[in-house]
Amino acid sequence: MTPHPSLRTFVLLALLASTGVRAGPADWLYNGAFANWMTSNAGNRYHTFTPEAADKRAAEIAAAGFKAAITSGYHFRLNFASRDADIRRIARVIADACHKHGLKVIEHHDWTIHFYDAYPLVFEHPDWLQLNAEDMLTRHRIFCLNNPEFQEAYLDYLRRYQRETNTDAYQLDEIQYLSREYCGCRHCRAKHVRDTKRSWPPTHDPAFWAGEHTRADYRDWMHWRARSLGDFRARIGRELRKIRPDVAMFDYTTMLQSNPGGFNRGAMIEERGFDDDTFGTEVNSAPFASHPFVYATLKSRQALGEAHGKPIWAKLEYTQQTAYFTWAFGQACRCSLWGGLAPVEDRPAQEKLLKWPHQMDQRVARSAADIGLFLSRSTRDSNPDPDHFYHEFEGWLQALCLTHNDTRVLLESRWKPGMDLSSLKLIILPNVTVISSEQRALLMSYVENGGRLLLTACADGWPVRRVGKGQILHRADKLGPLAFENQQMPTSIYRSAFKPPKDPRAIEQIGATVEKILAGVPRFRIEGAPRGLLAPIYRDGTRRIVHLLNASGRALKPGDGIDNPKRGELPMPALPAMTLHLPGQVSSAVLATPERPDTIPLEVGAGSTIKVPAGSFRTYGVVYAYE
Amino acid sequence: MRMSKRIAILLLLAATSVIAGDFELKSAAPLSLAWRGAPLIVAENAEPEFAPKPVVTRVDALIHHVWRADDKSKTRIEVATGEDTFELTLVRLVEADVSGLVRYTFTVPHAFLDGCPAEWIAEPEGKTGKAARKGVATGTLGPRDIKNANLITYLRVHHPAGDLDFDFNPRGWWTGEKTITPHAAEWNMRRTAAGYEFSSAFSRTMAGTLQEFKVVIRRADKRPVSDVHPRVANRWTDGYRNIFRLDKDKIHIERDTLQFRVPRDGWYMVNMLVGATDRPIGPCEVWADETKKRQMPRVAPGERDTWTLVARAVNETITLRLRGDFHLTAVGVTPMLYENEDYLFRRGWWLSSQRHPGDTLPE
Repeated sequence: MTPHPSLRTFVLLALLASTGVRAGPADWLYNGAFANWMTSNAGNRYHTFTPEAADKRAAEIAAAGFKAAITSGYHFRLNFASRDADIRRIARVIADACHKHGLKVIEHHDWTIHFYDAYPLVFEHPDWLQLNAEDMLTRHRIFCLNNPEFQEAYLDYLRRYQRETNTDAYQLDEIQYLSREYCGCRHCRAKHVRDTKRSWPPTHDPAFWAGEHTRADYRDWMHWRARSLGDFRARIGRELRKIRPDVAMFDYTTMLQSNPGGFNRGAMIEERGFDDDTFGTEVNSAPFASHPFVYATLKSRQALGEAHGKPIWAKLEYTQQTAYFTWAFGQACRCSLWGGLAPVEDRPAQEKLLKWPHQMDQRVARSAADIGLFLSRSTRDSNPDPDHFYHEFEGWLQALCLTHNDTRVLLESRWKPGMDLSSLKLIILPNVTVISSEQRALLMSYVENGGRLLLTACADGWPVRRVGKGQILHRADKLGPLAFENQQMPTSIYRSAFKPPKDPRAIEQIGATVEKILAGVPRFRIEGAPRGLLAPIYRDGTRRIVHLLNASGRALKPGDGIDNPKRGELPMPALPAMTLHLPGQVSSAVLATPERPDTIPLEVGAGSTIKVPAGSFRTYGVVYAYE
Repeated sequence: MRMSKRIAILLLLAATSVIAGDFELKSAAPLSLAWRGAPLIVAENAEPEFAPKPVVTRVDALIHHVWRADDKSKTRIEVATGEDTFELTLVRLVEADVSGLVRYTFTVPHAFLDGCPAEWIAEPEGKTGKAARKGVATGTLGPRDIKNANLITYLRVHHPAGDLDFDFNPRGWWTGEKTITPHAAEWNMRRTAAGYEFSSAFSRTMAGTLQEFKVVIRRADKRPVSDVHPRVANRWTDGYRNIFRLDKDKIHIERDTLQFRVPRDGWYMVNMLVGATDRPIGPCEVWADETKKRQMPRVAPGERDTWTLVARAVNETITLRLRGDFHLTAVGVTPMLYENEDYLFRRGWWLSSQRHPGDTLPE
């Protein structure tokens, strides 16, 4: 007998609840904008503790087009243990108000770090604290995530929070290590042996730390540490989904832990988020001022999101003057945004942006860039000098994007024998010094079938010549570290100042190198665009979607402050007429921009060229090209 | 007893001066205080305004409890006067829509502070002297000298009648990151026609907020201003740093007792590195004065492990007792909570458990 549909649903939900298993990421996580509820960090939650005040706030957020509210405040939650009941009571008031207005609630807190008020717990359990594996005498303010007693205590807290507040999602902060030396506690040692069937590495030996990435045991240990963080996050998710099956888990990292080069504190990029529903990054810098770095970093996150079929999001700093640009930046990066509720002064109103009907559907759109840049974790892990791989990789990525050569990041961790690389017109290996025989074979097959492989710096063992229908090329110098622009942190917070790349000419050289290699090859490119126009291309079924974001007005000199402007508008030079070249068929194309009420039909010329007239938009437009 | 009589008695009690050593509490609500005969606090006010009718309860000879409530806010205040210390503790929930500041202010008369040399952990405005220590500003208070100061966490006034400390964060800071350190309050000082106004405020509250602080005014600490609440970490990312480490040859255990000296009284974390190449170590119980016994785990031959406990230092000495099998190869000691910042274990944040029946404010 076929069960009644509602019975089937009930049985399925019951099964999911009992196992903690869940389906893929929910739709609300894509094309999202998540508003700060009210406060942050040491702030309290009493701002909206009454149903009336919460209702008013939720109504504002919903009306502005946000999909969710992020509840912060009492951030280092252990320090407010005596207020737990109040915190949960207020959280329930907030959740009820949000749900009434169709908003999801994302709880953001930290339960791993303690200060003063958590000392009663710490004094009771000082051995829960992370322990320096090198000296075995220094502990840290973060509890060890592998300590089973600590895990149970945290899970008890979260289970109760979930039961009493009906929260929709969790963004749990600081599930991480202090630094590379942590943690050496006996629970970490025991778990390492259980997981790897290998003995604990010689962390008492100075040679272990001096050798770092050159030692296989060091590299293995670092990856094991990273996976352990994921193990705990996964367990949290499973436990919370037993209470409510659709609870979403947000991966959460600061920028330091999100770039593909660093992982001493957290997990390396390819070890992140397996069991989370999103990949997220607290960027903490203004995307206009820091667009080369932030854009490239989100490219790597985007690759991770596409590989795992999960959405990405970023916390970007913005003001009224930069809210429109920042929203558009998220669109271009296929990225949901976490931000405040800020009126938009530099063009369309916030609610118009967040509800804009021409947004690319992030659930189905995938990068259609035809240049691939290989993120070789093996090379990165083999040498701690950032100039060896990370800066070469990131410098090339930034320069390619700035010169309108849209690029996909190819994650080594996702490479499998036989995978199809034929959509790529060029693959770049940025000083890749460590590569497996399977990966090499895959790349040789790609070249033999007509692909182009560019090696930078290291070409050891490669035949630099025509191979089959394709070609292997070599550029011996390392332009990446010269072109690399580091993150520009806000001056008001970090007292920082603008630092340009070591040699900005390297950016043009990288662009010219690719232009030369791909001369005459049908591919996506733009004619007439100024430097600083960001132009990623995506495919959504038979449509191709090109975002055009104008960052060309950035004019920073070394030493300049790099905050979001508090008054006036972002410098936004008028854009000239541009021509998009798309490979394959294009029958029609339109441009949509929040700056105009209607879409603009675009002229499609011979060879699948699309003309974008001068002045079509000022800050942001998106071209939909139909086959 | 009829309510009006009760209120009359309470008001009478509130109006009664309490003299305890240096301090004379003239009134708990509104606050009025003298120090060594000189008016020290002559006014207090709040924004939004306090509920107009305070309920003042004299808890004992030295402690007054004040409750103020109306439909806009609820406030619990504890005023405590000791031999050489005065404490003002407040928690206040502003419930209604508030578009401006939530602020508390107390006023010190010109006559008390004008001409007094002072030391601050703050950002005073005006002619400041060369700081004797990093982070400490010096200068003289007065209409032609320093009239204003911002972000005050500590103030020492060299008054003709003696030195006096204003401690605005008696729990200390522990890290330099103000926004993540719980309960860290920053005060400002403004010299106005009414006197020197010290205020603590929250802005942009929009729909209500919780304000809370404790101010301790006391005979000046013997330590330099910068040492009263030493900062032990610059960021939360700093580990607990061992202030010293004893290696094997310097660990002297007599009759299963390990003693060592520390710079000041308080609570310390003690980490003991344990292990031997040729034999297992343990089991062992370890404890310190005022802490319960901890059963430490066994350590296998050739392994290292760390036994950790928290101990209180009294008379600048930590005494650990070990019972069972142990073999310590190193000991690391790190401060967690100094005695003068202990509002957790030796005493509570509030001295009295007195609460008004309508008081649902958090502790």
